[in-house]
Amino acid sequence: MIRLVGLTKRYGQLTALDDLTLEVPRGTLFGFLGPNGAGKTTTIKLLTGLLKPTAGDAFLGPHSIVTQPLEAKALFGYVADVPFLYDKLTAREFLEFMGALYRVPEEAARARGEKLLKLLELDHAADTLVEAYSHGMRQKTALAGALLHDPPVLILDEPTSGLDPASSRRIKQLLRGLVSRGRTVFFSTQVLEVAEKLCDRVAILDQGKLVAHGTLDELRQSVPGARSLEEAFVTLTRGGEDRVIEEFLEETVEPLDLGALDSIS
Amino acid sequence: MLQLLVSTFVAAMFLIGSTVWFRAAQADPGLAPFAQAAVFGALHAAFLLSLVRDMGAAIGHLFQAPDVPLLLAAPVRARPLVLLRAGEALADAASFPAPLLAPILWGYGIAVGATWIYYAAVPLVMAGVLFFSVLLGFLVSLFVAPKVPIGRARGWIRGATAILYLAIWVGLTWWNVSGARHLETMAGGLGRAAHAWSGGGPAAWIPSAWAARLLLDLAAGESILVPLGLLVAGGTLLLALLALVAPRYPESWQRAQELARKATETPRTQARRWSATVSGAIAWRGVRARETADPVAALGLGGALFRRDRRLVVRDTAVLWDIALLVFMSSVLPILAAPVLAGRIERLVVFGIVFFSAELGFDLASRALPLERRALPWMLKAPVSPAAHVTARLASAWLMGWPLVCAVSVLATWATGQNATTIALHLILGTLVFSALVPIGFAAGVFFGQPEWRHPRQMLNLGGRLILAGILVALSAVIALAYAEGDAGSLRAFSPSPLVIPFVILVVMSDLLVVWASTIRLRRFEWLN
Repeated sequence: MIRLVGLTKRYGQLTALDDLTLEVPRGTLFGFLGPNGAGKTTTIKLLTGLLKPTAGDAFLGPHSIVTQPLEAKALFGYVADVPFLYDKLTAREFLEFMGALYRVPEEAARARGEKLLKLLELDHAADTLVEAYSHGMRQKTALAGALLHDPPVLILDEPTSGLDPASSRRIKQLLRGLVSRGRTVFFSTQVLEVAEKLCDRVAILDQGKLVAHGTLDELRQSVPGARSLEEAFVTLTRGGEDRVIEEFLEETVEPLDLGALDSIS
Repeated sequence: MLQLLVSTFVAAMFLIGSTVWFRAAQADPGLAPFAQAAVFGALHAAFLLSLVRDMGAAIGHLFQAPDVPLLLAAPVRARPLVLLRAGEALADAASFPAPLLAPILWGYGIAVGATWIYYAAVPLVMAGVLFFSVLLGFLVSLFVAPKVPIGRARGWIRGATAILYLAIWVGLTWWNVSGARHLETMAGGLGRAAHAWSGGGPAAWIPSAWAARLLLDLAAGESILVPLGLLVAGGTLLLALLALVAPRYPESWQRAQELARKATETPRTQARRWSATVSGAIAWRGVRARETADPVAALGLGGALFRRDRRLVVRDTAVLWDIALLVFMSSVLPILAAPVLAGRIERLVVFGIVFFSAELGFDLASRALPLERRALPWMLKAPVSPAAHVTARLASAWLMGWPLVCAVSVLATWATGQNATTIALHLILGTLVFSALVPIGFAAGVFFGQPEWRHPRQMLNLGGRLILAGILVALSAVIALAYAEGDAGSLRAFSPSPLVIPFVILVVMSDLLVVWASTIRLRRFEWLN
């Protein structure tokens, strides 16, 4: 359903993404992992047509995002890691606008919009300006906007960051449900537990290069001695972190007891 | 760098202009009293403008700055926090009138041959006056914020500032049109005003009057003890008052948060009523996305953008007032360009309509993209072709402004007692000018728009603002040339009718050019999320 072919993005001398080739089958929940600055957001921006690749291409279904951007864009919904919304619109007005933007028939957009507001527990705040929303509410509003046209592909950048546990669980259930009904979900995350519990397949990116991809079992087996995704991830990206932490604590943090605190007050 | 150069140039022009004017006033016994009144007037105007502006700035510093929660969560007492914030606000406040006010006051010093102490005292005295406006702003905002939603209060303050600017602008424009006739006698309107500014009565108790008196006495080599004492005592009193009420700040902030939350509730929308119709499953084919590539679909999207932008503009009073101020200031600009027309109101109306339509078209269209701030990618990642995107934006801007153009053209022409044919002609003229400027404005927004603005004036960078300035100057020059060339007879014979067809062609051509250039340039915003 999603195919990245030799996708590359350079900014002058800096190569943010280097020759990424990847395939995500239909009906898959795909986790895209990597440390900060690995190139995850750049990949997503290239995949959604917000950035133009220096080389390579990305396909959504049969459509190239480079040569057939409109057809490709009609197939996905996207939520950014920090979703910027219109502060002076309400969630309901935002969904009304999204319906018009994706040319969803008005009645159908309203009906689905109301169901999404209820599902994401935004119905109580649907007539409040977005400027009053918390980060989590903004995230859910953006997700509702992305789901309004029931896209076959959902592209999410850190979808559960800033959400309360109940909302996070609800969204994870929703994503699994969507996948079981043939939709494809491509999401980036830093939370490895989420990826481990939720994903059918994962890919790990480091410094703009794909370092591993496959099912979770394949990934664990590919790293000798790794019992969890976290261990595999740390080994594949940047090892030796435990030693760095020990050094820092040893050099800068003096052990403190309650007596010391009493003497301050 | 360019901004600095422009500011320096403007300040130099003010210095030269004020020196020449004050010298002329000193040499003319009829104008001499106005020289001192002008010093009072300049300081009063700066004080009043700063007062209104600093009320808004104080609300911003105390209640809306992004670092306020961090500061209030820290173990810091409220009093030093408020006083430090006032200090910050003073630095901001000084940057506003200083480049214009200082050259005027220095010009007076040059004209009367003041000693060096006068020139050194000017910035200190200006800071003193601004200190009053900042402290008053802080005091008032500490009392207002717990009672009125701060966003709304700031919007109203911006509105008041806009009206004050407008009043000063219209006053200066009118003065320019009427020449110096009002200065011939002290009994005239400006004469009475000048007398009131510099004389006793309530005006004597305004801090700017003390500052003006101090500077005038200093320039004349007289004792400054009384005005200096008043300034110092008044400032100390205000500072003490602020220190006294400062401990209320954390509580005011908490209350302001509650009020701001309440202010975000909007009235129930129609969509809520429709929610009752939701039932059953929704087929995927019923909600699937469709591409927007053809012009008809683009116009449909233009309608949706219009509804959204109308909400964004109406709910953001800062944007609304900024547009209103610029449009009205431009509308009275023709009076400056055509001083000979003081008694020919019907001609002024024609040019007023031209300037109004031009500025409104440019302003609304140039803000279309930056208005979305960083939410712009919702449009960019939707299945909408760049050409349809641009077409929809042009349609939306046109829909937003054209009713206003119609209303203003009809009302202004009707109010000056002209017939129905003239009203219709003016309506066509306004529509043409407006339609011509919408694509140019939009292109300026695409090329020079800034999505990360804080004040609405920053929506366009200097390049974009210079384009508008250039258009207005060109229009002014055309009007001035037209009147310099012809006598009254040829003026009456002037008819815009032969220009209609070339104008329509120009509009269509510029529309096509802009759609083409803007579709390419939209890539400029790809760095946004």
